Amino acid sequence: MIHYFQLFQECLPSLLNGLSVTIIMAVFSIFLAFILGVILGIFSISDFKVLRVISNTYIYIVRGIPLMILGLFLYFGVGAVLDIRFNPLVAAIIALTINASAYMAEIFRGGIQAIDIGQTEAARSLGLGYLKTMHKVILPQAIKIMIPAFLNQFITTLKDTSILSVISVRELTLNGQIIIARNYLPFEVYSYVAAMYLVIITMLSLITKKVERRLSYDNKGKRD
Amino acid sequence: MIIRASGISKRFGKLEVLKGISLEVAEGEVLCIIGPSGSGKSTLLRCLNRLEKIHDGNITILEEDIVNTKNINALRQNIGMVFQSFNLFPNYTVLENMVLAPLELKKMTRKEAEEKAIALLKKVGLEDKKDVYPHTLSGGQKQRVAIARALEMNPKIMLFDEPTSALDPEMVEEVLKVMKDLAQEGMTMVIVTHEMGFARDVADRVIFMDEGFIVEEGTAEQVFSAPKSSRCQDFLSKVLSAR
Ligand SMILES: Nc1ncnc2c1ncn2[C@@H]1O[C@H](COP(=O)(O)OP(=O)(O)OP(=O)(O)O)[C@@H](O)[C@H]1O
Ligand SMILES: [Mg+2]
Repeated sequence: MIHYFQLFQECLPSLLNGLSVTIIMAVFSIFLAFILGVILGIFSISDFKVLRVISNTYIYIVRGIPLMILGLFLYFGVGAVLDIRFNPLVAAIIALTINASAYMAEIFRGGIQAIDIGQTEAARSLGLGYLKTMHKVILPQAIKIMIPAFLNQFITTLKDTSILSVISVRELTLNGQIIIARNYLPFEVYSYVAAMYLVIITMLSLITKKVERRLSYDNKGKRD
Repeated sequence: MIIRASGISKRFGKLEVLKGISLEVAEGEVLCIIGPSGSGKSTLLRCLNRLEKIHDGNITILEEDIVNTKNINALRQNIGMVFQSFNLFPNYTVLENMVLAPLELKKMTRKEAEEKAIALLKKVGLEDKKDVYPHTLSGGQKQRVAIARALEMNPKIMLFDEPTSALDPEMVEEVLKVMKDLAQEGMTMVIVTHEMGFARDVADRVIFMDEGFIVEEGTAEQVFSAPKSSRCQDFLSKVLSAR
Protein backbone atom coordinates (compact mmCIF):
# COMPACT_ATOMS: atom_id res chain seq x y z
CA MET A 1 0.00 0.00 0.00
CA ILE A 2 2.78 2.38 0.95
CA HIS A 3 4.47 1.39 -2.26
CA TYR A 4 1.30 2.26 -4.20
CA PHE A 5 1.23 5.84 -2.93
CA GLN A 6 4.96 6.32 -3.22
CA LEU A 7 4.84 5.28 -6.83
CA PHE A 8 1.95 7.68 -7.37
CA GLN A 9 4.05 10.55 -6.06
CA GLU A 10 6.86 9.61 -8.41
CA CYS A 11 4.56 9.48 -11.40
CA LEU A 12 2.60 12.58 -10.48
CA PRO A 13 4.68 15.29 -12.22
CA SER A 14 4.61 13.48 -15.54
CA LEU A 15 0.93 12.63 -15.21
CA LEU A 16 0.05 16.21 -14.30
CA ASN A 17 1.89 17.37 -17.40
CA GLY A 18 -0.19 14.96 -19.41
CA LEU A 19 -3.36 16.12 -17.70
CA SER A 20 -2.65 19.73 -18.56
CA VAL A 21 -2.21 18.78 -22.22
CA THR A 22 -5.46 16.82 -22.03
CA ILE A 23 -7.28 19.84 -20.66
CA ILE A 24 -5.75 22.17 -23.23
CA MET A 25 -6.84 19.83 -26.02
CA ALA A 26 -10.36 19.59 -24.66
CA VAL A 27 -10.79 23.30 -24.03
CA PHE A 28 -9.42 24.40 -27.40
CA SER A 29 -11.32 21.86 -29.41
CA ILE A 30 -14.61 22.35 -27.58
CA PHE A 31 -14.29 26.10 -28.10
CA LEU A 32 -13.62 25.73 -31.82
CA ALA A 33 -16.25 23.01 -32.13
CA PHE A 34 -18.78 25.31 -30.51
CA ILE A 35 -18.20 28.01 -33.12
CA LEU A 36 -18.20 25.52 -35.99
CA GLY A 37 -21.20 23.71 -34.53
CA VAL A 38 -23.26 26.87 -34.23
CA ILE A 39 -22.48 27.79 -37.84
CA LEU A 40 -23.40 24.30 -39.02
CA GLY A 41 -26.49 24.38 -36.80
CA ILE A 42 -27.60 27.65 -38.39
CA PHE A 43 -27.03 26.08 -41.81
CA SER A 44 -29.15 23.09 -40.89
CA ILE A 45 -32.18 25.20 -39.97
CA SER A 46 -31.72 27.62 -42.85
CA ASP A 47 -34.26 28.14 -45.60
CA PHE A 48 -31.55 27.53 -48.19
CA LYS A 49 -31.41 23.94 -49.26
CA VAL A 50 -27.73 24.09 -50.23
CA LEU A 51 -26.75 25.08 -46.71
CA ARG A 52 -28.90 22.37 -45.19
CA VAL A 53 -27.35 19.77 -47.47
CA ILE A 54 -23.82 20.92 -46.63
CA SER A 55 -24.52 20.76 -42.93
CA ASN A 56 -26.35 17.44 -42.97
CA THR A 57 -23.70 15.81 -45.12
CA TYR A 58 -20.96 17.01 -42.82
CA ILE A 59 -22.79 15.73 -39.76
CA TYR A 60 -23.53 12.42 -41.45
CA ILE A 61 -19.91 11.83 -42.47
CA VAL A 62 -18.32 12.93 -39.22
CA ARG A 63 -20.69 10.91 -37.07
CA GLY A 64 -19.91 7.85 -39.17
CA ILE A 65 -16.14 7.98 -38.69
CA PRO A 66 -14.45 6.83 -35.47
CA LEU A 67 -12.41 9.59 -33.88
CA MET A 68 -9.30 7.41 -33.88
CA ILE A 69 -9.49 6.97 -37.64
CA LEU A 70 -10.06 10.69 -38.08
CA GLY A 71 -6.93 11.40 -36.02
CA LEU A 72 -4.79 8.84 -37.83
CA PHE A 73 -6.04 10.01 -41.21
CA LEU A 74 -5.24 13.64 -40.44
CA TYR A 75 -1.89 13.08 -38.78
CA PHE A 76 -0.46 10.39 -41.02
CA GLY A 77 -2.64 10.46 -44.14
CA VAL A 78 -3.07 14.15 -44.80
CA GLY A 79 0.39 14.80 -43.40
CA ALA A 80 1.93 12.43 -45.94
CA VAL A 81 0.00 13.76 -48.93
CA LEU A 82 0.77 17.37 -48.12
CA ASP A 83 4.30 16.37 -47.15
CA ILE A 84 4.17 18.18 -43.82
CA ARG A 85 4.83 16.95 -40.32
CA PHE A 86 1.85 17.94 -38.28
CA ASN A 87 2.40 18.92 -34.72
CA PRO A 88 0.51 16.02 -33.04
CA LEU A 89 -1.27 18.41 -30.68
CA VAL A 90 -2.50 20.51 -33.58
CA ALA A 91 -3.67 17.44 -35.50
CA ALA A 92 -5.41 16.15 -32.39
CA ILE A 93 -7.21 19.43 -31.78
CA ILE A 94 -8.37 19.51 -35.41
CA ALA A 95 -9.65 15.94 -35.18
CA LEU A 96 -11.47 16.58 -31.90
CA THR A 97 -12.93 19.82 -33.26
CA ILE A 98 -14.28 18.14 -36.37
CA ASN A 99 -15.71 15.31 -34.31
CA ALA A 100 -17.33 17.44 -31.61
CA SER A 101 -18.65 20.08 -34.03
CA ALA A 102 -21.00 17.56 -35.60
CA TYR A 103 -22.53 16.83 -32.21
CA MET A 104 -22.57 20.52 -31.30
CA ALA A 105 -24.48 21.25 -34.51
CA GLU A 106 -27.06 18.64 -33.57
CA ILE A 107 -27.41 20.10 -30.10
CA PHE A 108 -27.86 23.58 -31.55
CA ARG A 109 -30.45 22.44 -34.06
CA GLY A 110 -32.29 20.43 -31.42
CA GLY A 111 -32.38 23.42 -29.08
CA ILE A 112 -33.83 25.73 -31.70
CA GLN A 113 -36.34 23.16 -32.86
CA ALA A 114 -37.48 22.52 -29.31
CA ILE A 115 -38.93 26.02 -29.18
CA ASP A 116 -42.58 26.10 -30.16
CA ILE A 117 -43.06 27.40 -33.70
CA GLY A 118 -45.76 29.67 -32.27
CA GLN A 119 -43.00 31.81 -30.73
CA THR A 120 -41.54 32.51 -34.15
CA GLU A 121 -44.96 33.13 -35.62
CA ALA A 122 -45.90 35.57 -32.88
CA ALA A 123 -42.64 37.49 -33.26
CA ARG A 124 -42.82 37.56 -37.05
CA SER A 125 -46.44 38.68 -37.03
CA LEU A 126 -45.44 41.64 -34.87
CA GLY A 127 -43.19 42.67 -37.74
CA LEU A 128 -39.87 41.48 -36.31
CA GLY A 129 -37.49 40.15 -38.95
CA TYR A 130 -35.89 36.71 -38.94
CA LEU A 131 -32.68 37.80 -37.22
CA LYS A 132 -34.38 39.89 -34.56
CA THR A 133 -36.78 37.03 -33.89
CA MET A 134 -33.87 34.65 -33.48
CA HIS A 135 -31.85 37.01 -31.34
CA LYS A 136 -34.56 38.33 -29.04
CA VAL A 137 -37.08 35.52 -28.83
CA ILE A 138 -35.82 32.11 -29.92
CA LEU A 139 -32.16 32.00 -28.89
CA PRO A 140 -32.64 33.20 -25.30
CA GLN A 141 -35.04 30.31 -24.79
CA ALA A 142 -33.13 27.75 -26.83
CA ILE A 143 -29.81 28.42 -25.12
CA LYS A 144 -31.25 27.29 -21.82
CA ILE A 145 -32.02 23.95 -23.40
CA MET A 146 -28.63 23.72 -25.10
CA ILE A 147 -26.32 24.53 -22.21
CA PRO A 148 -26.54 21.20 -20.35
CA ALA A 149 -26.05 19.32 -23.62
CA PHE A 150 -23.05 21.49 -24.50
CA LEU A 151 -21.51 20.75 -21.11
CA ASN A 152 -22.09 17.04 -21.63
CA GLN A 153 -20.34 17.25 -24.96
CA PHE A 154 -17.42 18.89 -23.19
CA ILE A 155 -17.18 15.89 -20.88
CA THR A 156 -17.34 13.51 -23.83
CA THR A 157 -14.64 15.41 -25.69
CA LEU A 158 -12.44 15.42 -22.61
CA LYS A 159 -12.66 11.64 -22.43
CA ASP A 160 -12.13 11.36 -26.17
CA THR A 161 -8.77 13.10 -25.91
CA SER A 162 -7.28 9.83 -24.68
CA ILE A 163 -8.01 8.28 -28.09
CA LEU A 164 -5.58 10.74 -29.65
CA SER A 165 -2.71 9.14 -27.74
CA VAL A 166 -2.41 7.04 -30.91
CA ILE A 167 -0.95 9.99 -32.75
CA SER A 168 1.59 10.56 -30.00
CA VAL A 169 0.10 13.58 -28.28
CA ARG A 170 1.73 13.73 -24.88
CA GLU A 171 -1.53 13.79 -23.00
CA LEU A 172 -2.49 11.92 -19.86
CA THR A 173 -2.99 8.48 -21.38
CA LEU A 174 0.22 8.48 -23.40
CA ASN A 175 2.25 9.77 -20.49
CA GLY A 176 0.89 6.89 -18.44
CA GLN A 177 1.88 4.43 -21.14
CA ILE A 178 5.38 5.88 -21.28
CA ILE A 179 5.80 5.37 -17.55
CA ILE A 180 4.53 1.79 -17.84
CA ALA A 181 7.04 1.08 -20.60
CA ARG A 182 9.73 1.95 -18.09
CA ASN A 183 8.47 0.35 -14.85
CA TYR A 184 6.20 -2.48 -16.10
CA LEU A 185 3.52 -1.63 -13.53
CA PRO A 186 0.39 -1.27 -15.66
CA PHE A 187 -2.05 -2.02 -12.82
CA GLU A 188 -0.78 0.82 -10.66
CA VAL A 189 -0.17 3.38 -13.35
CA TYR A 190 -3.42 2.87 -15.27
CA SER A 191 -5.32 3.16 -12.01
CA TYR A 192 -3.66 6.54 -11.40
CA VAL A 193 -4.56 7.65 -14.89
CA ALA A 194 -8.14 6.49 -14.50
CA ALA A 195 -8.45 8.25 -11.15
CA MET A 196 -7.23 11.51 -12.63
CA TYR A 197 -9.77 11.39 -15.44
CA LEU A 198 -12.42 10.54 -12.91
CA VAL A 199 -11.61 13.51 -10.70
CA ILE A 200 -11.74 16.00 -13.56
CA ILE A 201 -14.89 14.55 -15.01
CA THR A 202 -16.59 14.42 -11.64
CA MET A 203 -15.87 18.09 -11.23
CA LEU A 204 -17.32 18.86 -14.64
CA SER A 205 -20.37 16.71 -13.95
CA LEU A 206 -21.02 18.55 -10.73
CA ILE A 207 -20.89 21.86 -12.55
CA THR A 208 -23.23 20.52 -15.23
CA LYS A 209 -25.71 19.29 -12.64
CA LYS A 210 -25.63 22.61 -10.87
CA VAL A 211 -26.24 24.54 -14.07
CA GLU A 212 -29.01 22.13 -15.04
CA ARG A 213 -30.72 22.57 -11.69
CA ARG A 214 -30.41 26.33 -11.97
CA LEU A 215 -31.87 26.35 -15.46
CA SER A 216 -34.76 24.06 -14.65
CA TYR A 217 -35.51 26.24 -11.65
CA ASP A 218 -35.58 29.32 -13.88
CA ASN A 219 -37.79 27.51 -16.32
CA LYS A 220 -40.23 26.14 -13.80
CA GLY A 221 -43.63 26.68 -15.35
CA LYS A 222 -42.21 29.40 -17.49
CA ARG A 223 -43.22 27.65 -20.66
CA ASP A 224 -46.17 29.56 -21.96
CA MET B 1 -61.28 47.72 -49.11
CA ILE B 2 -58.59 47.20 -46.55
CA ILE B 3 -58.22 43.48 -47.32
CA ARG B 4 -58.71 42.15 -50.82
CA ALA B 5 -58.09 38.50 -51.61
CA SER B 6 -59.03 36.89 -54.86
CA GLY B 7 -58.81 33.35 -56.11
CA ILE B 8 -56.36 32.19 -53.46
CA SER B 9 -55.45 28.55 -53.32
CA LYS B 10 -53.14 26.80 -50.95
CA ARG B 11 -51.87 23.25 -50.77
CA PHE B 12 -49.99 21.29 -48.15
CA GLY B 13 -48.23 18.73 -50.29
CA LYS B 14 -51.04 17.10 -52.23
CA LEU B 15 -53.78 18.27 -49.89
CA GLU B 16 -55.59 21.26 -51.31
CA VAL B 17 -56.72 23.29 -48.31
CA LEU B 18 -57.95 26.52 -49.93
CA LYS B 19 -59.61 26.14 -53.29
CA GLY B 20 -59.90 29.55 -54.85
CA ILE B 21 -61.10 31.81 -52.07
CA SER B 22 -62.07 35.43 -52.64
CA LEU B 23 -62.69 37.80 -49.81
CA GLU B 24 -62.96 41.50 -49.13
CA VAL B 25 -63.00 43.35 -45.86
CA ALA B 26 -63.82 47.02 -45.53
CA GLU B 27 -62.23 49.36 -43.05
CA GLY B 28 -63.86 49.04 -39.64
CA GLU B 29 -65.64 45.85 -40.58
CA VAL B 30 -65.79 42.80 -38.32
CA LEU B 31 -65.73 39.55 -40.25
CA CYS B 32 -66.22 36.22 -38.52
CA ILE B 33 -65.18 32.97 -40.14
CA ILE B 34 -66.91 29.81 -39.00
CA GLY B 35 -66.81 26.24 -40.24
CA PRO B 36 -65.97 22.68 -39.29
CA SER B 37 -62.53 21.57 -38.19
CA GLY B 38 -60.10 21.19 -41.07
CA SER B 39 -62.08 23.40 -43.42
CA GLY B 40 -59.14 25.79 -43.85
CA LYS B 41 -60.13 28.69 -41.59
CA SER B 42 -56.76 29.04 -39.87
CA THR B 43 -54.92 28.58 -43.12
CA LEU B 44 -56.94 31.35 -44.75
CA LEU B 45 -56.25 33.69 -41.84
CA ARG B 46 -52.54 32.87 -41.89
CA CYS B 47 -52.35 33.60 -45.59
CA LEU B 48 -53.53 37.14 -44.87
CA ASN B 49 -50.28 38.01 -43.09
CA ARG B 50 -48.17 35.60 -45.12
CA LEU B 51 -47.49 33.12 -42.35
CA GLU B 52 -48.48 30.74 -45.13
CA LYS B 53 -47.50 31.21 -48.77
CA ILE B 54 -50.27 30.88 -51.29
CA HIS B 55 -49.89 28.98 -54.55
CA ASP B 56 -52.32 30.96 -56.59
CA GLY B 57 -54.35 34.15 -56.46
CA ASN B 58 -53.48 37.47 -54.91
CA ILE B 59 -53.93 39.34 -51.69
CA THR B 60 -53.63 43.04 -51.08
CA ILE B 61 -53.64 44.48 -47.60
CA LEU B 62 -53.88 48.27 -47.25
CA GLU B 63 -53.43 48.51 -51.01
CA GLU B 64 -50.15 46.62 -50.85
CA ASP B 65 -49.49 43.25 -52.48
CA ILE B 66 -48.64 41.08 -49.49
CA VAL B 67 -47.68 38.06 -51.56
CA ASN B 68 -44.88 39.82 -53.41
CA THR B 69 -43.98 42.71 -51.17
CA LYS B 70 -40.28 43.23 -50.52
CA ASN B 71 -41.00 44.59 -47.09
CA ILE B 72 -43.18 42.05 -45.37
CA ASN B 73 -42.04 43.15 -41.91
CA ALA B 74 -43.27 46.71 -42.41
CA LEU B 75 -46.61 45.48 -43.70
CA ARG B 76 -47.02 43.01 -40.83
CA GLN B 77 -46.70 45.84 -38.35
CA ASN B 78 -50.14 46.92 -39.53
CA ILE B 79 -51.65 43.49 -39.02
CA GLY B 80 -52.01 42.30 -35.45
CA MET B 81 -52.44 38.58 -34.91
CA VAL B 82 -53.81 36.71 -31.92
CA PHE B 83 -53.32 32.97 -31.66
CA GLN B 84 -55.25 30.21 -29.98
CA SER B 85 -52.20 29.32 -27.90
CA PHE B 86 -51.36 32.94 -26.88
CA ASN B 87 -47.66 32.64 -27.79
CA LEU B 88 -46.46 35.13 -25.21
CA PHE B 89 -42.68 35.15 -24.89
CA PRO B 90 -41.97 33.26 -21.64
CA ASN B 91 -38.57 34.85 -21.18
CA TYR B 92 -40.00 38.37 -20.91
CA THR B 93 -42.35 40.09 -18.48
CA VAL B 94 -45.74 41.27 -19.64
CA LEU B 95 -44.45 44.79 -20.21
CA GLU B 96 -41.33 43.54 -21.99
CA ASN B 97 -43.50 41.34 -24.21
CA MET B 98 -45.39 44.43 -25.23
CA VAL B 99 -42.56 46.87 -25.85
CA LEU B 100 -40.19 44.41 -27.52
CA ALA B 101 -41.37 44.88 -31.09
CA PRO B 102 -41.92 48.67 -31.08
CA LEU B 103 -38.50 49.20 -29.54
CA GLU B 104 -36.66 46.74 -31.78
CA LEU B 105 -38.34 48.27 -34.81
CA LYS B 106 -37.65 51.79 -33.53
CA LYS B 107 -41.27 52.75 -33.80
CA MET B 108 -41.36 54.48 -30.44
CA THR B 109 -39.06 55.64 -27.68
CA ARG B 110 -39.00 53.47 -24.58
CA LYS B 111 -41.04 56.04 -22.71
CA GLU B 112 -43.72 56.18 -25.40
CA ALA B 113 -43.81 52.41 -25.73
CA GLU B 114 -44.16 51.85 -22.00
CA GLU B 115 -46.81 54.51 -21.59
CA LYS B 116 -48.81 53.04 -24.41
CA ALA B 117 -48.35 49.53 -23.05
CA ILE B 118 -49.59 50.55 -19.62
CA ALA B 119 -52.60 52.31 -21.12
CA LEU B 120 -53.43 49.16 -23.11
CA LEU B 121 -52.99 46.94 -20.07
CA LYS B 122 -55.36 49.21 -18.21
CA LYS B 123 -57.81 48.81 -21.04
CA VAL B 124 -57.70 45.01 -20.84
CA GLY B 125 -57.81 45.18 -17.05
CA LEU B 126 -54.29 43.95 -16.32
CA GLU B 127 -52.19 46.97 -15.43
CA ASP B 128 -51.20 45.37 -12.12
CA LYS B 129 -49.64 42.50 -14.06
CA LYS B 130 -47.14 44.51 -16.04
CA ASP B 131 -44.07 43.18 -14.27
CA VAL B 132 -44.95 39.51 -13.96
CA TYR B 133 -43.87 36.69 -16.25
CA PRO B 134 -46.48 35.05 -18.47
CA HIS B 135 -46.39 31.71 -16.62
CA THR B 136 -48.02 33.34 -13.61
CA LEU B 137 -51.09 34.39 -15.61
CA SER B 138 -54.30 32.48 -16.23
CA GLY B 139 -55.25 31.60 -19.81
CA GLY B 140 -57.70 34.44 -20.07
CA GLN B 141 -55.13 36.89 -18.76
CA LYS B 142 -52.50 35.59 -21.19
CA GLN B 143 -54.84 36.08 -24.09
CA ARG B 144 -55.71 39.61 -23.00
CA VAL B 145 -51.99 40.40 -22.82
CA ALA B 146 -51.52 38.88 -26.26
CA ILE B 147 -54.25 41.14 -27.62
CA ALA B 148 -52.70 44.16 -25.92
CA ARG B 149 -49.29 43.19 -27.31
CA ALA B 150 -50.70 43.13 -30.82
CA LEU B 151 -52.46 46.47 -30.29
CA GLU B 152 -49.25 48.07 -29.05
CA MET B 153 -48.05 48.18 -32.66
CA ASN B 154 -51.04 50.34 -33.67
CA PRO B 155 -52.26 47.83 -36.25
CA LYS B 156 -54.93 48.74 -38.77
CA ILE B 157 -56.21 45.18 -38.89
CA MET B 158 -56.51 42.49 -36.22
CA LEU B 159 -56.61 38.78 -37.05
CA PHE B 160 -57.85 36.33 -34.42
CA ASP B 161 -57.51 32.55 -34.73
CA GLU B 162 -59.89 30.94 -32.25
CA PRO B 163 -58.73 33.20 -29.43
CA THR B 164 -60.92 31.54 -26.81
CA SER B 165 -60.66 27.88 -27.81
CA ALA B 166 -57.83 27.09 -25.41
CA LEU B 167 -59.53 28.76 -22.46
CA ASP B 168 -61.47 27.36 -19.55
CA PRO B 169 -65.15 28.31 -19.98
CA GLU B 170 -65.12 30.85 -17.17
CA MET B 171 -62.37 32.83 -18.90
CA VAL B 172 -63.96 33.06 -22.31
CA GLU B 173 -66.11 36.07 -21.50
CA GLU B 174 -63.27 38.31 -20.32
CA VAL B 175 -61.50 37.84 -23.64
CA LEU B 176 -64.63 38.26 -25.73
CA LYS B 177 -65.38 41.45 -23.84
CA VAL B 178 -62.03 42.92 -24.84
CA MET B 179 -62.70 41.96 -28.44
CA LYS B 180 -66.18 43.46 -28.37
CA ASP B 181 -64.79 46.75 -27.10
CA LEU B 182 -62.26 46.69 -29.88
CA ALA B 183 -64.96 46.09 -32.46
CA GLN B 184 -66.96 48.98 -31.09
CA GLU B 185 -63.97 51.27 -31.45
CA GLY B 186 -63.99 50.57 -35.15
CA MET B 187 -61.06 48.16 -35.47
CA THR B 188 -61.05 46.09 -38.64
CA MET B 189 -61.19 42.50 -37.43
CA VAL B 190 -61.11 39.05 -38.99
CA ILE B 191 -62.03 36.44 -36.40
CA VAL B 192 -62.02 32.67 -36.72
CA THR B 193 -64.28 31.49 -33.93
CA HIS B 194 -66.50 28.75 -32.61
CA GLU B 195 -68.32 31.22 -30.36
CA MET B 196 -71.54 31.53 -32.33
CA GLY B 197 -73.22 33.87 -29.85
CA PHE B 198 -70.27 36.20 -30.02
CA ALA B 199 -70.16 36.07 -33.81
CA ARG B 200 -73.81 36.93 -33.92
CA ASP B 201 -73.27 39.91 -31.63
CA VAL B 202 -70.27 41.54 -33.19
CA ALA B 203 -69.93 40.35 -36.77
CA ASP B 204 -70.88 42.70 -39.57
CA ARG B 205 -70.49 39.75 -41.86
CA VAL B 206 -70.07 36.01 -41.40
CA ILE B 207 -68.38 33.53 -43.69
CA PHE B 208 -69.01 29.81 -43.46
CA MET B 209 -66.19 27.66 -44.86
CA ASP B 210 -66.17 24.01 -45.70
CA GLU B 211 -63.50 21.91 -47.42
CA GLY B 212 -61.55 24.87 -48.68
CA PHE B 213 -64.48 26.81 -50.09
CA ILE B 214 -66.54 29.70 -48.84
CA VAL B 215 -69.91 28.05 -48.83
CA GLU B 216 -72.02 30.78 -47.33
CA GLU B 217 -71.56 34.46 -46.78
CA GLY B 218 -73.81 37.18 -45.40
CA THR B 219 -74.76 39.21 -42.40
CA ALA B 220 -74.80 37.39 -39.09
CA GLU B 221 -78.58 37.42 -39.27
CA GLN B 222 -78.62 35.83 -42.73
CA VAL B 223 -76.08 33.13 -41.97
CA PHE B 224 -77.33 32.16 -38.55
CA SER B 225 -81.07 32.50 -38.99
CA ALA B 226 -81.55 31.57 -42.62
CA PRO B 227 -78.56 29.63 -43.96
CA LYS B 228 -79.10 28.73 -47.60
CA SER B 229 -76.78 25.76 -47.97
CA SER B 230 -77.51 22.44 -46.36
CA ARG B 231 -73.89 22.13 -45.23
CA CYS B 232 -74.14 25.32 -43.24
CA GLN B 233 -77.49 24.27 -41.82
CA ASP B 234 -75.98 20.96 -40.70
CA PHE B 235 -72.99 22.64 -39.15
CA LEU B 236 -75.06 25.18 -37.25
CA SER B 237 -77.52 22.64 -35.97
CA LYS B 238 -74.61 20.52 -34.73
CA VAL B 239 -72.74 23.29 -32.93
CA LEU B 240 -75.86 24.91 -31.55
CA SER B 241 -77.27 21.63 -30.23
CA ALA B 242 -73.89 20.87 -28.65
CA ARG B 243 -74.42 23.64 -26.11
N1 LIG C 1 -48.59 22.97 -41.79
C1 LIG C 1 -49.44 22.06 -42.30
N2 LIG C 1 -48.96 20.99 -42.96
C2 LIG C 1 -49.79 20.07 -43.50
N3 LIG C 1 -51.12 20.14 -43.42
C3 LIG C 1 -51.67 21.18 -42.78
C4 LIG C 1 -50.86 22.18 -42.17
N4 LIG C 1 -51.66 23.10 -41.61
C5 LIG C 1 -52.93 22.68 -41.83
N5 LIG C 1 -52.94 21.53 -42.54
C6 LIG C 1 -54.15 20.80 -43.00
O1 LIG C 1 -54.94 21.70 -43.72
C7 LIG C 1 -56.31 21.49 -43.44
C8 LIG C 1 -56.94 22.79 -42.97
O2 LIG C 1 -56.35 23.16 -41.75
P1 LIG C 1 -56.77 24.45 -40.94
O3 LIG C 1 -55.91 24.48 -39.74
O4 LIG C 1 -56.75 25.63 -41.82
O5 LIG C 1 -58.27 24.09 -40.54
P2 LIG C 1 -59.24 24.87 -39.57
O6 LIG C 1 -60.46 25.16 -40.34
O7 LIG C 1 -58.53 26.01 -38.94
O8 LIG C 1 -59.57 23.76 -38.48
P3 LIG C 1 -59.74 23.88 -36.89
O9 LIG C 1 -61.14 24.36 -36.64
O10 LIG C 1 -59.54 22.49 -36.42
O11 LIG C 1 -58.70 24.83 -36.38
C9 LIG C 1 -56.38 20.38 -42.43
O12 LIG C 1 -56.67 19.19 -43.10
C10 LIG C 1 -55.01 20.34 -41.85
O13 LIG C 1 -54.67 19.02 -41.47
MG1 LIG D 1 -57.81 26.42 -36.98
